[in-house]
Amino acid sequence: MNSSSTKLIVQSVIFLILQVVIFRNIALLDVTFCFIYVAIILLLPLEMDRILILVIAFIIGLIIDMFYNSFGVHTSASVLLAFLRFYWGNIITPQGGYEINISPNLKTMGFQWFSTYFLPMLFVHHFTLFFTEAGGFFLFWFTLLKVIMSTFFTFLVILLIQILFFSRKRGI
Amino acid sequence: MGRLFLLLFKYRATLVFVLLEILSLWMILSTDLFISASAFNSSNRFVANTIRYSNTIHTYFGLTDLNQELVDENAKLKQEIKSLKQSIYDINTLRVDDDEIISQYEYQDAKVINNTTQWLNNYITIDKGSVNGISPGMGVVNQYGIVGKIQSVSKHYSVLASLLHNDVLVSSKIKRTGTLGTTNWGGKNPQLADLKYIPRHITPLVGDTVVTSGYNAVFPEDIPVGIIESVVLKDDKNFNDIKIKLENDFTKLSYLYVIKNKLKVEKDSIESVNYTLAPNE
Repeated sequence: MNSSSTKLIVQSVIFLILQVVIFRNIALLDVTFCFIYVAIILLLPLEMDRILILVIAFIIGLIIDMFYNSFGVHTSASVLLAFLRFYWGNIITPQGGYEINISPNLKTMGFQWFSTYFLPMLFVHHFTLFFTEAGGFFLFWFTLLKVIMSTFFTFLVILLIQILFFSRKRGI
Repeated sequence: MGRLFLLLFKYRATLVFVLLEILSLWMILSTDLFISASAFNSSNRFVANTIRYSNTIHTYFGLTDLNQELVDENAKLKQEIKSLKQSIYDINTLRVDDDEIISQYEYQDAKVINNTTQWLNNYITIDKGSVNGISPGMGVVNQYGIVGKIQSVSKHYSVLASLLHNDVLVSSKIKRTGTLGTTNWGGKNPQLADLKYIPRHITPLVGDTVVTSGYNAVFPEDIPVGIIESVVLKDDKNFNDIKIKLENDFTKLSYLYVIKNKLKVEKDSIESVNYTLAPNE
C-alpha cells in the first residue's frame, strides 16, 4: 500500500460521499444530472489490472444503485465504462506512452488529453445509463437531451474539482 | 485442452466483463425481486440513515411552507367536521353501526426522507416501517391527494413507488360522470398524468375533477387525483386521450399518510373466490 494508492482510495471515498449526499439531489431544469462517481473509475491508473477495475466498477455501481433505487442500471453502465476505458486509453496514448502507475488526471496529463479521455467516456456512460433507465428508445430525443446535458455538466464539475483540489500548486 | 485454457486466460478480462454485465442486466430485468428485497434499496437502514442526515438541512428550510400547509389542512378538516356536525341529524337513520366498517381505514403518518421526480420510475423513502404496521401494497396519500403505493418495507423504513412510476396504475373515476378509468403517469412531466380507458361516448370537460374509485382495496373512495387539463378524441381511437394535472406537487412532498385498510384481506379473498368459481358455472 503506497501513498498513491492511499490517495486514490481516499479520493474515491470522497467522490462517493459527494455523489450520494450532494449531487444526488441536483437536477437542473429536470434534464441535467451529475454523476461524478464515474470519475473514480476513470481516474484509476491506466496500467491497473483490468479485472480488478471491472470488479471495482461493479461494486461502485451497486452502491450507487442502492441510493438511487435503480437496480443494476448504474452497475451495468459502470462496468461497460470500465471495460471500454482500457481500449480508449490505448487509442489516445500520447507520444512516448503513459508513465507507469499514475492516475490519469488533469495535473499529470494536461487539459487536451484529459478532455479527449473524459468527454467520450462520460457520453458512453450517460448514454447507457439513461437509455437503460428509460427501458428502450421511446422518448428518444428527450433522453438524448438528458444524456448530452448531463455529460457536459458532469465534465464541468469533475474539471472544477480537479482545478480546485488537484492543481499543481496545492496538491492534495 | 491446455490451449483452451490459454485462450480463456487470454480473454479473461472480457469474460469477467461479460459475466458482470449479464449479472447487472439480470438485476435490471428482475427489478421487482430487488425492490422487495429491502437490503438492496433505500429502505436499507444504512442507506436510509445517510439519506436522512443529508436531508435534515433541506427540511429545515422548508419548515415555513410546511407550517402553512398544516394550518391549511387543519382549517379544512375543521370545516369538514363542522359541516358533518350540522348534518348529523339528517343522516342519523342511515348510520352504519358496524365497527369494522367505520374504522376500516387507519392512517399512519410518515416523513419523506428521499424522493425523486426526474426518473421514469420514481420511488419515495419514508421513515416508518414494519414496526409501525406498514406492509407492501398499502396506499399512501397526503392532504392534497394520492401519492403512491408501498413497495418494500424494512424494520424502520419503507420505499414506495410514487404515482410518478410507470407501473403504478390507480383505479380512478371522473367525479361528475362517475366514469371509471385508470390513471398512469406518462413519464415526462411530474405535474401531468394520463387518464386512460374513458370510452368515446363520455365527454369529459376540461376542469373535471378526477378522484379514486375505491374499487381496489388500496385507496378509499373519493381521494383527489387531479383535474382534467386537456381532452383529445381521435377518430380511430376507442378511448379519449386525457391529460390530468395532478393535485400533488411531487417535487415538494414532506409528510404523508399511509392508509391501512383492515378489510383488504377480506375483500380480496372474496373476490378471488368469485373469480375462480366463475368459469365453472
